[in-house]
Amino acid sequence: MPTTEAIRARIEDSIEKMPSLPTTVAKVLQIANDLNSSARDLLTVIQMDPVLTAKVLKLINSAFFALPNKVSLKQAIVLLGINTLKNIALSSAIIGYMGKSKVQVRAFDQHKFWEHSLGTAIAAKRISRRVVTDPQQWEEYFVAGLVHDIGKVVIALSLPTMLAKSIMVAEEKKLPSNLAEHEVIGLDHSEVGAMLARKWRLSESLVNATLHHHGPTETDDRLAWVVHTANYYVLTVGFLNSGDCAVPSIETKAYQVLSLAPESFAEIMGNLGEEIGKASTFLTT
Amino acid sequence: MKVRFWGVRGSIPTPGPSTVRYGGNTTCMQLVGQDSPTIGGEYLLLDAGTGIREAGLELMKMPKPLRINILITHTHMDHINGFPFFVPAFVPGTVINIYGPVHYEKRLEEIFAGQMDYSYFPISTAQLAADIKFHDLKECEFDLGPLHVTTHYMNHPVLTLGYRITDSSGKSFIFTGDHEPYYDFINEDGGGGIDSDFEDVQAIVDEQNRRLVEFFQGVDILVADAAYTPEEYLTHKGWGHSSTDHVVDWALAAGVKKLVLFHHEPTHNDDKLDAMEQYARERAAGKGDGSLVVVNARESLVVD
Repeated sequence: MPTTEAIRARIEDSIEKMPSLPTTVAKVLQIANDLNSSARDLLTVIQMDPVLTAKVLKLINSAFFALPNKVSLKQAIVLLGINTLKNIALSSAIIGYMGKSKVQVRAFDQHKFWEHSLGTAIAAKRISRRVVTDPQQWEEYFVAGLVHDIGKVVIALSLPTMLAKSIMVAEEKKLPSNLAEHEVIGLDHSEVGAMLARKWRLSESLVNATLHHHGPTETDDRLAWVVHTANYYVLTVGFLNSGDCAVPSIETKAYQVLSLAPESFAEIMGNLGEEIGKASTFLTT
Repeated sequence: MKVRFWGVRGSIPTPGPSTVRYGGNTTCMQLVGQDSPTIGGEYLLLDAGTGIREAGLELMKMPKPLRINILITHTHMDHINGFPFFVPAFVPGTVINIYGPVHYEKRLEEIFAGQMDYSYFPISTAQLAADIKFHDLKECEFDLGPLHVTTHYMNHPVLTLGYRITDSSGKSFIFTGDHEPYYDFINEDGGGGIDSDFEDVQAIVDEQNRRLVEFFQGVDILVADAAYTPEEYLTHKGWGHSSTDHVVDWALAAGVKKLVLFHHEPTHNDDKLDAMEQYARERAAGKGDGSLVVVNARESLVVD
């Protein structure tokens, strides 16, 4: 059993080599290699891929850009321009291909991961429309929902055997994935995701929302509460992630913090499956 | 402080009879003192296109050892490909400091070394006798002796910095490097109008363009990429260059005193450039109060 330090070191090592998801890789390659493809198509793909989104934000917030304020994904896109975006997407897609063989945890289903991440992003944005008046801020809620489980990809990449074991434990004991990961690895994907977000200099609020999405009780940050709630409802409507053999509970304080009644969520989550289906169709045509 | 031009062409050198008056060398200019080729005892060049070869020959006539600063706007070929022929770099005792933006995957030094890889050039950067140091820049401010330098990110398909330089007398100069106005390429190129997912992009674009005019504010000499006529720009949108209309309008909005049209298109011969200069002057006179001076950059021109 490796020590927690050794585990952390392995995770740190893998963070730089994050592959994109096979779900989006083929589409990225198709668009990036087509001179006549539209910027909008490429952006739509980037917006649907947690890894690509995080990579674009990583680049724009990286030390060499040194912009005074943390920028949003759209600002990043305007600043970087379409050619640089194509390059990031392409190199990420190529790493994705090489990384495919690395993410070899049969129990970790990348397509399910993508569906769950995108579902949480859409749900977080829908909730944000009810609790935040400034449309400029809705994008950040979408991004926070999209990247909240990114730690799972890092664990799959750096600790495949342990992840497989934690998925088995979750199945045996009917546990949510974060508790099973704690039991087997000593930390869970929310902590690993926050490590990545910190290392990639994503905004403090994204770090926070990723870290606390299973229990934001220690924070008053509304973004973290929205992601927590979005994650819960996406799981209850059936977009489970690998290793989620039980739906983690929702903190009841969430309804109070967001001033939303539990009854309103049926409407908020309506036709979520349809929207994910549309995204899936876009990626495969 | 004055600016002297060694190369004014964009993209690729264009030697030949039709470009004799403006010159065919690619980007290189020098800032010189009012009565001396140095400022604070050091030479200052901007960009290292093919024009830097002749600048180097001129510097070789000066007392040694030479201390040279080179500010690079971006690392596209036409802005760095004269460097392997810059003679002072081969002379022991020369000190060269090269400043420029980083690419997101490579440092400035790696990019310079790349074009002197053995497949392309027989001498590597490691073999150059001069003491050469590279400095990766961001949006920042720093001093070069008595000069104060402010950098600003520009809009071009590789990370590009514009430089604003102020001397001890308060006189100011800007070189934009290659630049195109920010525009909403997401909705304009996407077909089918505004996508609700990207409806707020225009506001970000407007803010970037506003920041740029702020950067130009009140400068004495603005050397600006004005590669295209307004008609040509329409078919070259997204290529990373501006039109004469863009630069005249920015100069007027920012209260610039002297506008130098730069980065001449390889397809533009001398007569075409004359016509573009005339057009820009008329636009400046028509839209402004008549005080903005507009001039085409040409090799060996000195602008005070």
